[in-house]
Amino acid sequence: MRRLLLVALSAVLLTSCAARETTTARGAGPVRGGSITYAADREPTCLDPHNNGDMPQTYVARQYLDSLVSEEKGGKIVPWLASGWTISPDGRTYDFRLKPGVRFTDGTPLDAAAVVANFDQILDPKTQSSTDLLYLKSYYDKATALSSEVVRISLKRPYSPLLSALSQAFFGIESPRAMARGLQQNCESPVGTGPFKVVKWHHERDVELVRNDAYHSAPANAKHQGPAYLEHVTWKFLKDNTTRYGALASGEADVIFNVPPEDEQTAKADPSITLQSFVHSGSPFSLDLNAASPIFADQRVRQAFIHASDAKEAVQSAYAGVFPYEGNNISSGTPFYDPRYHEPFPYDPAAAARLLDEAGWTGRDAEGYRTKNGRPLTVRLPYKGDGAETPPADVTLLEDIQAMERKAGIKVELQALDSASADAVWGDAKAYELLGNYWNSPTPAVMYIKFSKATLDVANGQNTAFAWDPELDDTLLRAAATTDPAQQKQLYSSAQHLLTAKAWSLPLYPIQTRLAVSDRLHDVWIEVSEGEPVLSDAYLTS
Amino acid sequence: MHTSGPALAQRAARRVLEAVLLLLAVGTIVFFLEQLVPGDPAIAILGGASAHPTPSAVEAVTHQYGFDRPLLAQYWSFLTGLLHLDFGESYTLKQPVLEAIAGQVGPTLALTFTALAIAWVLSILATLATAGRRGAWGRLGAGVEAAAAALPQFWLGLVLLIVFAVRLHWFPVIGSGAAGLVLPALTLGIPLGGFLAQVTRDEFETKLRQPFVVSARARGMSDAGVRARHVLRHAALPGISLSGWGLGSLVSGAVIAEVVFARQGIGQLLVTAVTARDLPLVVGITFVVALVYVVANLLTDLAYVAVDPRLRSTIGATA
Amino acid sequence: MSVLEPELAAPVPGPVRTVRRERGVLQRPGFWLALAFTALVVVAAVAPGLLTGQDPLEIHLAQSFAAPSAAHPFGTDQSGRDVLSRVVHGAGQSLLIGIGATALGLGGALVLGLLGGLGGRAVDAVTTRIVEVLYAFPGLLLALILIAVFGNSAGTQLLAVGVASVPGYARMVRGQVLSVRGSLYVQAERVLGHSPARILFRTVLPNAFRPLAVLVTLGIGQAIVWATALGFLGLGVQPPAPEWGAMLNAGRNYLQQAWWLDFFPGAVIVLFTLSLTALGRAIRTAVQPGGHR
Repeated sequence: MRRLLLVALSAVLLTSCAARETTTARGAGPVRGGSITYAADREPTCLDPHNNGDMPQTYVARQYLDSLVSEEKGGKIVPWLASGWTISPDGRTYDFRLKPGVRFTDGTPLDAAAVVANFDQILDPKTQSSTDLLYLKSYYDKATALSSEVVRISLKRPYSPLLSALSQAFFGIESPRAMARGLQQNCESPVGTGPFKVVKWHHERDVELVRNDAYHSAPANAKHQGPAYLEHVTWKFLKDNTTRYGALASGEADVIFNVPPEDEQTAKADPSITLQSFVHSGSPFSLDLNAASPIFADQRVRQAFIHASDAKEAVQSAYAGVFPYEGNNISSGTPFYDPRYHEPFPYDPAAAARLLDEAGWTGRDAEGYRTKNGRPLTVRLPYKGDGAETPPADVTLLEDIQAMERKAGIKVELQALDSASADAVWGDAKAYELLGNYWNSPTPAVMYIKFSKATLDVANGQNTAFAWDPELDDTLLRAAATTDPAQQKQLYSSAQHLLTAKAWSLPLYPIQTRLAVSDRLHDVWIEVSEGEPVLSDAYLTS
Repeated sequence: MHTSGPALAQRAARRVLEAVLLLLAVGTIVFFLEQLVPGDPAIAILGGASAHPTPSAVEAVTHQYGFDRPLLAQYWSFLTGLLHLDFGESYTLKQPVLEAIAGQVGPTLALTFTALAIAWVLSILATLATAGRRGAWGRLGAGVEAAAAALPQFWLGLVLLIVFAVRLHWFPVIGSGAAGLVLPALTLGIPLGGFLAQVTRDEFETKLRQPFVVSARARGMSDAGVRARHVLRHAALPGISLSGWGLGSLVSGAVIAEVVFARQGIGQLLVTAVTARDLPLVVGITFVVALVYVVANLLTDLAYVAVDPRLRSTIGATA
Repeated sequence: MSVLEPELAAPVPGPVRTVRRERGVLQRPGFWLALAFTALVVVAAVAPGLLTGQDPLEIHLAQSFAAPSAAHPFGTDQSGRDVLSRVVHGAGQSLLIGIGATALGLGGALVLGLLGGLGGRAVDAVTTRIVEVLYAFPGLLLALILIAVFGNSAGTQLLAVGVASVPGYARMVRGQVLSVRGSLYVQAERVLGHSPARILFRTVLPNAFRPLAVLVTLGIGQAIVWATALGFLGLGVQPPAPEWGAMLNAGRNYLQQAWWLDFFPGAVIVLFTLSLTALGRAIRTAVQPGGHR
């Protein structure tokens, strides 16, 4: 009875004062237990991030896998599964000392042999690794267990971004016993040392995660050591923008990934929601121009294409000013970003027209598109028709660019494809002239991954422009070989200069991790190597 | 209240035969259409050309799924699989099709049955209020019904969403739970209700002129009483027999409603499967819908017998 | 979709409809409104430039999401394109699909009708059963299966709608063929010793098809609704072509801030199909005085 009265009284007080204080509850400190629902937009194709290597894999993998090291804001590398490491003076040998007493959630101990098994699995063609492979291929030689606690990575040539690369969940360390079950089973339920473990992946619906009660291997930059506060996480897939945002509003979800840009203002005004965003480093979302295609083999036509589109205006309009424009081949948050290349080819229809005339595209067809020897200036741009893969704002952006190119006499053919057909386009130089692409990465070495002969030779389609340049390759390899910041700055700058001149890409906007978190959930944070949401420090207040 | 056995058994047997025919027809058509699809199904199963499957993997899958067997043998095992509700594994979900459907069918059934209930309530109310009335009132009823029946579900759904969720905030824009069910169920229920009302109205107006109505009135029964107790019962017959078909059409309408309201369900699953060209999943869902349709038709047949005095051995409830 | 149009979708057993006394068609204002609206859509399809001066593809990013006004009666979309001009320019595509799919459906039905009519009793029985059964099966699902099999494009959209409407037409073609075949003058021709093929092509089919003219009017409306439903599901015509269904699909994402993106194209589709239905009924009344079916 007394309690009832108290509740009634406080309700009156609350309403009369119109108090909207939500932080007072935090005074009590983190509470243990409870379940939350995290609503993601895209579903991974495999829960083992070594396979393929797409963003949805790393976001969820961060919850059940630990990496060797972690990255802090500003680029500093701190211990995680590796309590320390030494780098040889020639930069080619890395010795990692592992935290003692750590076990995978299937009981297997974490030792040097387990780490070696991870590198072996990543490089095994059967794993079908794309992201990890491209980070390692040009540099990695072998991994060896020096003792049960010390693992050595030997490199073919020095690779200063190695630690940054290894800090991503893409390089999360998995149980060798679980990996031995084969790719298919490991995709369903990979096993790590992380704060949560995978219970079951209900395809098209969610991944069920439960707390790892024995967790004691949090990274040095975590907000607390020891097991996670939350007992249970439902990692749900709500690909429809409206549904996902609605789930947060209705309390069905406690965190949502990728707040629809259209709803940004509403979300900001809502006191029961906090927004967090992180601008990824790496290569921004860009339209890559297929330099192996007859039309875009001509650098003048590539430059004309870029001049003809008012990309800055298009990004601002489609993304309601929420996403910034980026015209450089790496995003502003990437180390050694050079602001001189922020907007290298401003909107300039006159320049576009002049370049196209020079290139011989002087004829016009009935619809007003340019022609050369009777062939129309038509470029194909395939994309995934699925709204989760290509959100509405991206479609708007593509249509706006299409309309701008039309004015210049370039016909952009948008092809909305089913996922299988769209995947089949990758690596097929004859299937497209333009392809949307991004590469989130903590290091400017991403330029080498996207535009090098080495990547082209891997032939997995990740060199979307089918383009490389010996000078660029050399510049980026030299940048990776040095640890001197002044030298790195100079080399990475000239790489950005070279890339801009080549016009292999029309950069548009940097990818972001944008979370909206309900006010009953606290201490969700975003790590900086890949913008992965971290739930191990999060706790509920009732 | 026992029903006449032989008539019922005969009807049921005919329905079951029809059902089997329907399933076989749909299955056969789909099977042979599938053969027309360009590209190797084994490569599709292995994740498409982009996955760069090795020739040995392709060969293994080809053998495992029996793509190397003669066409007729494949057709036969396809048909026998259907009889066991074994539709194979979804290309995209890497999960048995039946399992995927089972996970999503609940919300869809909730939606369709709610919609059917709404349709019936609307059509009965409309019929009782306006059928057989002279002048503007009757014409208004008929006009509203015709318009309701002709409304495309996608537009009705969008308008309901804009007006009641986005503008008035009476219902959540999205939401599972009862509140979230109202607008999608109305989206499907209103057009079906309009259609059922048209049918019921025609029947109702015919029955109003029947002798038993005249005699009931002569006995001093009120107009409302005659309408509700006697006429409606007779007039509902064609409507009931249409409900089984209506349920089938509601399940296909659920595809639209689930997309408009971003609801989970097999409609949403079907659209995803069609977009991804995941044929086993498409075939499985279509089959389940066909099954629902068949079962619903059987049930309505039974209901028909229960309501139709002529098909009952004990006549004399009315007149 | 809208499998609820009673004329086309009445399943077995069909509703028994009473004959309502109709006023003369020409006296009804509804008829004239329907005719006027249909004429407007046809003009839009044939010569969109007469109805709007704006380019449906021209973007004006500074004017995106402008509410309906005198300058833009239907408002503007996410790229600042004029929604009215997109609706007007979309009429051609939608009408093309409607007419094309109806032609395809009727053609398919004719083939099946011929099979039934010429192929003897066994063939007739089998085709009839299959058609009866498929007829009751939701057309939208048939269309979706076809798109899944053949892939997604404007062509398959038309094909899917056309094929999905075959059972409906086939059922009616057969009904007409049967009633004409049983008629006295066909019996007379048999007595005269004319060949079955001659009777079929010279007498039965022409006579069976006349009443189908009504159904074509209704069928085009139905086909447009189906095609729009597919477009709404994101299947069919590719952006930025101003097809009605695709417009609805794109607008759906912006309902919260711009209701006009979906409201107006949808309203035009509804009015157009209602007009076609009204015209079809009026023609039927004129062709078959006092009769339904």
